[in-house]
Amino acid sequence: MENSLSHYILLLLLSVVFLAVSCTQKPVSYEEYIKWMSNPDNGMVKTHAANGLEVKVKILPKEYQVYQELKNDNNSSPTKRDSLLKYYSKSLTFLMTIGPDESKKNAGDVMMNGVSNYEEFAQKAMTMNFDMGQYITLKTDAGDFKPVLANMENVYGLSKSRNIILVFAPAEEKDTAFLHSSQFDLVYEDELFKVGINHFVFKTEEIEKRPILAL
Amino acid sequence: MNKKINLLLALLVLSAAWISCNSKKTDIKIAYVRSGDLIYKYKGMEEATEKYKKQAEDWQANLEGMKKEYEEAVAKYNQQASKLSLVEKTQTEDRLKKMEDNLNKYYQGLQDQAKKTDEEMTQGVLNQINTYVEKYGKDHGYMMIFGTSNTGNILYADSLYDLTDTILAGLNRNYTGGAVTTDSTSAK
Repeated sequence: MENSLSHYILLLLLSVVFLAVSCTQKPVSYEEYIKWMSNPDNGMVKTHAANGLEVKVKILPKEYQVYQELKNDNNSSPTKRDSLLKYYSKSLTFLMTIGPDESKKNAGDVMMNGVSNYEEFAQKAMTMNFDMGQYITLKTDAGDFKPVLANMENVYGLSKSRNIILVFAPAEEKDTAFLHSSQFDLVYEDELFKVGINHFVFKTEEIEKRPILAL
Repeated sequence: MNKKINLLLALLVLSAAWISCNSKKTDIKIAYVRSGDLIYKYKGMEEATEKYKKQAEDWQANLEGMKKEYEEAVAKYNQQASKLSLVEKTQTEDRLKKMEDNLNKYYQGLQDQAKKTDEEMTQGVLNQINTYVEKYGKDHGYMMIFGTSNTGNILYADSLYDLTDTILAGLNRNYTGGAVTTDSTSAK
């Protein structure tokens, strides 16, 4: 009787170990990770098109940012990696790309869209560089948040699109409720390109399915 | 000479055959949408209208504040006018005139701003709808999708060709969901 019981326990333990091993995700390479992240079916990229333009928003998880920060760092270490992961886990970062709709012919530089003179161009450039945050809100289960950083990357005229990095963080470090929201609705209330109000909805259950990036 | 005529005739016959074959293959796929319903039942329009209303309320509140301040100043002047010296009267009247001018300028500026905001907001919504309809038409092989309106050119069309509900459902799904698809699950 005792023998069969211990036999069952052993079998049970082996099953648990087997399940745990088989369910553990293996880290993937950066290339595989990016491929997965860029697939719209995986829910990490959302796109809206209007007025000959495409507005694309991609969520940038903490491990992606750590990878970017460490890839050229000769002094990286596990401690540094863990410290950076902890740092980036306190905020949410998105990359918004506003560019011409690739399906349209003769798509021009997005900065020239709807611009009829230099003054309008200068005004648009000024707003996009320094004041994009006013048009963006992150709606979560814990309330609405404005970006703490909305920074446009300089492309030196080499691209027809523009990238804007958006970072959201709670007013107080301990107040992390918004990070555990069931979904993140990034709202872009456009007043620059005549593309209307756009919702980019990211579901937490989809975000959590992302592969583990080998760091 | 005969050879040339025969060749020409053969070419004509072949061309006619080609044209007739191709014209049979071309199925004209057309549809229409009820423009008014599409625009005003679109969630993007509802949200934009709501945003505009809130903005207009803020503007109205500012205007009311300025108006109240001006009216109080006029009332105060009327009460005290008999006790004021000529110089004080002139100074107060000048100040009131400036207040009135500012109020009128603000009101005019507000009207211009409201009109501009309304136009831009509507244009943004229409651009979203147009882009979606265009993509829907291409994805589903439509040659034309008409938009009906009370003053439009379409006097009659069978409701079988009415895509309003299908397009509206897709538009609203994309508006609140994210990915741009012209899902055909409910398409006719």
